[in-house]
Amino acid sequence: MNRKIVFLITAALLLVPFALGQSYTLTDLGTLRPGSARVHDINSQGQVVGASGHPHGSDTHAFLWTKKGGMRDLGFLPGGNYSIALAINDAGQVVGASNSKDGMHGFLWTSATGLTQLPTLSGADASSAYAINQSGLIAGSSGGHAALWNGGSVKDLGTLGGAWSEAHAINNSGQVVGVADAPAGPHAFLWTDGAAMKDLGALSGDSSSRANHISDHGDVVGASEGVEGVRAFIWTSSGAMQPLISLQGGTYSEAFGINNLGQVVGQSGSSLGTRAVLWSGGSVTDLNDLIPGLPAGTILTGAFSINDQGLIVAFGVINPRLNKNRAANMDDHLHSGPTRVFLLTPEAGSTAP
Amino acid sequence: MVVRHSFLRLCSLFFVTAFLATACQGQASSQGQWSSVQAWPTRAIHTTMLPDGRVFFISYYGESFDPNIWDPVSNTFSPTTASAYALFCAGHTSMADGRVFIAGGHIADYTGYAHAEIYDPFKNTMTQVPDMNEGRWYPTTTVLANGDILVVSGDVNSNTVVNPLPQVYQVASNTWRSLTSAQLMQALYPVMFVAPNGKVIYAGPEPLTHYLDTTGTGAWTNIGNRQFSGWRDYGPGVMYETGKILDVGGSDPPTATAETIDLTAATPAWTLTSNMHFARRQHNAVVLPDGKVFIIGGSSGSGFDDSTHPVLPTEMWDPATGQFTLMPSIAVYRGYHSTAILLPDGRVLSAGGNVGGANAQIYSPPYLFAGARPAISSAPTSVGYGQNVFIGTPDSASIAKVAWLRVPSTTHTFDESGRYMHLNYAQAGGGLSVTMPANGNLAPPGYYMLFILNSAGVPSIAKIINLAQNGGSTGTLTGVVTNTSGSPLANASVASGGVSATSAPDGTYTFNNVNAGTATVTASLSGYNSASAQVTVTAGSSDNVPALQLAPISPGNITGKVVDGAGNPLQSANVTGAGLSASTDANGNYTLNNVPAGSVTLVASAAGDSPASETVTVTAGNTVAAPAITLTSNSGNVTGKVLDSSSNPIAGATVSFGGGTATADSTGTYSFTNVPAGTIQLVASASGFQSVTQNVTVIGGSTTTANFTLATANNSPGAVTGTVTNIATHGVISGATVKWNTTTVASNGSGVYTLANVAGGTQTVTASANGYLPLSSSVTVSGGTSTLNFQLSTAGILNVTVADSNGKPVNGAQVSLSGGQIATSLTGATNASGLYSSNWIPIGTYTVTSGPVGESATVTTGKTTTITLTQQSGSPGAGTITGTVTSSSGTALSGATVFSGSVTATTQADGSYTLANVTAGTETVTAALSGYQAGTQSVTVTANATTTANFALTPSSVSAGTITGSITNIATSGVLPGATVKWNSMAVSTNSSGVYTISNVTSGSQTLTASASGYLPRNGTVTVTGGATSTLNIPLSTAGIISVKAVNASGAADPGATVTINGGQISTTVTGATSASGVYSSNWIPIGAYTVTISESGHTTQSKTATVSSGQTTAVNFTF
Repeated sequence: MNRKIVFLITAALLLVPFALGQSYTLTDLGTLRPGSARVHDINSQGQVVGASGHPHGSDTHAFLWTKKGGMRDLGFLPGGNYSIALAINDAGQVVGASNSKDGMHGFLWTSATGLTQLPTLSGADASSAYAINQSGLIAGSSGGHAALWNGGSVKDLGTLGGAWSEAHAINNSGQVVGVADAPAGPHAFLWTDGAAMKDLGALSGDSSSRANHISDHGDVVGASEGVEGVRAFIWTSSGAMQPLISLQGGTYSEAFGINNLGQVVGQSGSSLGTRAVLWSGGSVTDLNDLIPGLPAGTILTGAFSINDQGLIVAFGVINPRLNKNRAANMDDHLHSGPTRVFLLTPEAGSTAP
Repeated sequence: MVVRHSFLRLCSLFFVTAFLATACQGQASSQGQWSSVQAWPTRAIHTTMLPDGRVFFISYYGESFDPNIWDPVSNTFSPTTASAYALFCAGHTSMADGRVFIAGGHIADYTGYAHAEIYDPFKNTMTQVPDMNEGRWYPTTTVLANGDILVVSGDVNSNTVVNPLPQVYQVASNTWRSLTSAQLMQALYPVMFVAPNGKVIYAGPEPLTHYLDTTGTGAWTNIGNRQFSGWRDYGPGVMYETGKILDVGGSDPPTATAETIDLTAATPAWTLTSNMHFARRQHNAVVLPDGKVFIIGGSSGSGFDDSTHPVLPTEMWDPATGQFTLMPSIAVYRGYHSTAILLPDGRVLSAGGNVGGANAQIYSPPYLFAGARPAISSAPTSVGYGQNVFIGTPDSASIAKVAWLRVPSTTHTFDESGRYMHLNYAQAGGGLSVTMPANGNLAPPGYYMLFILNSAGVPSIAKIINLAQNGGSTGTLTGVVTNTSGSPLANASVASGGVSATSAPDGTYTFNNVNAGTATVTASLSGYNSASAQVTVTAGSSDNVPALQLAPISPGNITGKVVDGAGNPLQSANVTGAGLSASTDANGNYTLNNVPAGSVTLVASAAGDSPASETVTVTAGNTVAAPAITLTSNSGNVTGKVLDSSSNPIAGATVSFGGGTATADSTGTYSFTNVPAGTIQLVASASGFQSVTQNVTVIGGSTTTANFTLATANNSPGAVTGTVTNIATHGVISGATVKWNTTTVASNGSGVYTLANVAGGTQTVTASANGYLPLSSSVTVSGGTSTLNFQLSTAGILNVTVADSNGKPVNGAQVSLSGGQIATSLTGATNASGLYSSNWIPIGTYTVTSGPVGESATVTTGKTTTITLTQQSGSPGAGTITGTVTSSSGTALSGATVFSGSVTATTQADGSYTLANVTAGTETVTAALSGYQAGTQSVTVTANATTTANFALTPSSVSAGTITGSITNIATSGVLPGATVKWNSMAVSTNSSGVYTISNVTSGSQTLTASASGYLPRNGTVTVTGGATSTLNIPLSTAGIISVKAVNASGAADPGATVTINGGQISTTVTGATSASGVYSSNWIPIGAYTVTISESGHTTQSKTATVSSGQTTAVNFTF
């Protein structure tokens, strides 16, 4: 194909989102100390949770970010020195995991009580809390099994026949999704109270899958892996598991968040590198292209949560040598340098794509 | 900087010359020396030593997908078998068997594969093992005491973050064991070591130090906090002696602190050692053979990987003093993604780096400039725990230290495999007896570089030895000692390492339990010069040593004669002396040639004769006539008569002894000839007579007479009585039936029976009882009452099943039983079901054998005992494969690699090869040579035989691919039309969009050079796949010059100052010295911001920043 034609098509594709759809403003949420940060969830109040420390897990502290108070260190369980905050509900209850004097434990944090350690399943001595819904039900794992906390009690959600499972998300109906060992390998599961854990399968030809999030409508997103690589999926009760398309040139994609409007956020590889993406209306868009005010040298590489107002939390890198319109040089640290976290706010007047 | 200043001042104390810096730098004996920077095909980001000393490395995934191997001896590279997925960002270690275990890998940044893979360097294969629980990106792998592999940490993906579940890969079963009770969030690439207590210490970067108990479902316990309270991320930890760990630098901002912990102490605690001269992060630490720790590279700047603050000087930490000493500078920044490892020759490889790291520099430590190196002449290839092994060295007297280091496997500043350990040793003839560590907690199984160091601290070149879990391995050596004429030499003393033997009369000798590997065998014999040979000892098999030919010292000759007692010549008598032997001719004459001068004892011997000896003195160059040696027979004759009491001959009487039986003739005469000299016992017997026994002394060469007189036997009938008992319980058996001929009696309540009126002479009586096996016994009846007791045994059945190693029944296998309360031996063969059944046999313990397989079985009363003998698959033995490799047109191909299993050979100039010690059976042989399609064939190898396998290789049709990409200005990102891109002799120009395309490029890793007018040329490397298009974009930089001028305080030119210029849009480092006019000019370098550093002995080092602009010369002036 003639190169000029390719260029024109590419240029047209790049221009379309601005011309037709949603655009966002970008807020750099900072870090607890000079270093790095990751972000995991945003609630409908626009409160954000994640973790911040040195890159690569050193000195990592769970944080809560609010527009008013900025980034706040949530600390550790007693005896620990590593914590991450993974989810927040609209009541401002935060869950996550912290090392303690005897290993990793799930925690619940509220502004009134601070960190409280969640109980483990019988016979287990570790846990991790990945998600919390509006009624305070917490999903996570304990001793290698998916677990559901309700108040002070914890329930074993079982597996798909294998030894191991882990719950990643819970919706306001109490449906839980995650990953569990099935005979064919680790598979995404859907658990509904009163029913057996359901194997959501994997994309055609793939051997394993994992579910990362579930909307209140029961739509599930995650990733499926096989010889074609890791591919984002969406599962619906009517349409089963379908792949979400990748950016051009990408062989890796994963969906991390879905809101009740069916908008999905995640990561996709591309010919320019890994990018934070939004799947909406059957198309995929590089979120970097939806931010008119994206500062030079800032590239968003992953988006993890989107609320029903369309606010998105994402992480990325800041390096003056980078340019979102070209692939990074090997000498640069796009690969694994410090990461920063951002809040993407839909611009007034722009329309949802 | 203050400390560095004092270092320079220290130098000036010793070298008060005009060229202080140069003189100081020149002290290789105290400072060692760096090589120049060598270009490498890619960045060595994951660097692992293979058991043969070659270096396996994995690169940036965007740079090259396939791992590569660097051979430090030939300085060549060869890509390995490709992995099915990207191994970049994995954790890796050298396994107990020398394969490379690689856990996790790169799906995307922060997203890891759950896969794990094993690279087998012996077969050049990649084999995936079952997946881990979840993905791991930046995990740490640790070989445990039993050879299993612990894997911890690593990111699952950007959302789930770190994998908190430690898992153990169980090598034997190829399964994972999850430590579900030990879940913990750890930093990426944590520092983990097996500790002397068998637990695994988590020694960084976290400030709190933990032990992980990997048994069961795992458990963490806390040891305590480090002294430096921050997280030492990207600061290395090394085990510089068993149980002793040094954590050095790291953190953000970087720290210069370093601290140690001794896990062998009663209460281990971290203690600060002295600080490094520079704060560092992203540096590497390498333990050297002398136990010192060498620190290379890193950045002193804040942030993740600040290449604008490179730390170029290196440092050496001495565990004896806790002090760091500054050592020579590296030439380029080695930061994030750089690696450094010790090489078997004692040098240090420093390679890789994210920023412009496709190159390497090699450091020769000071000990390589401190005199002659001790040498290891022999070492076993494999050793076991607690063994004392012999390390051959001609330098044993000067050895002051023996140490070994597990082969390294380094990435992201941490060596997941290596550790240092000194070994205890003692002098042993021709070398050292070295004591191996007691267990795997002290030294996990695997390959170790063993060094011997002399009192000057100079290490040998290492021998790489496998510390095997199940005890090392030894082999057997056989050979022959001869003189230089090929005559066998007896009584030679033969030694190899700590083992010795004496040659037999035919010159042969055998050594058992020789350490596998290369052995030197030395034979010595009085009057001869010693001789040695080298041989490879193969574990578990017997190897032949080339004939050891001893040259006599100042030889002469001996002639002589051997005669019998009558003075007649003795033919074929054997004469030995001085280890030589000769045979007499028909005239009884013999000659021994090349006999060492001196006194020689000659020993003559002949069949049937007693040996005799003579001593003669041999003088150099003369033939001495030895006195005749007389041999007398060593046997005699015995004769005599057998007579009755009336002196009448008893014809037909027999006379016997252990060596035979003779029958008396009609005169009663018997005779034996050739009876060995000495005392024998003769028994004469005849029917109707009582036997007589007589001891007779036989004299060599004589006839001894022994006559017998036999009394008539009393053949009157008599009674036989006795008791019948149970052999096991000794209880009496009443009611037993005792039978002679047709007469039957029963034993009474005391077990006693009496048979009256039994005929005279030898009679057979049989006892039987219900539940017992019948038993017959003989008794001599000669009037009166004779006693015959019976001990009966109850019975059971022994069923023996013979199966092969796969558990299948073996038909027709021979089975032997022997044992039982009443000695019983049975043999038989198994049926189609593999069964042999004994029928009823006495109870008791039996030895049951079938071929070489034996077992013990106990038969009990009334029961059937079943045992199974499993035939061993057995050692199949080993044979040799030989042949030639040619091209399909018949041209001999040299340098082709031919291998079968782990046996590898390279073809000679004539295309020939030999693979020795190939396991017998059906084996696959592969011949491979670059440019040809590999050939494989299946051959049948027979033990101790040679099989031929010839190959005709077809040239490979080299598949070609295409490279395309754009050439841009690195500063503006603008495209460069008309730029030239070269590959080999091909050159193309970029089009108006700056895009070039080169077709027909050979597949594999290829380097292109882009150049454009006004820009600095730049190389790029890309992997080309046949039939596909690869993309390689090369940004170019315009250039400028930095001109540095140094003057002293009075404004005079300052020559000889060292100038380092570092920075640029394309990271560049140049160094040089100011000229006589005080000027150093950089030549053209990429534009951009630079740091210019100038140093000179006795002066404070100064730095300035400078900006290089296109086509401009930027002046930077310094005043000392």
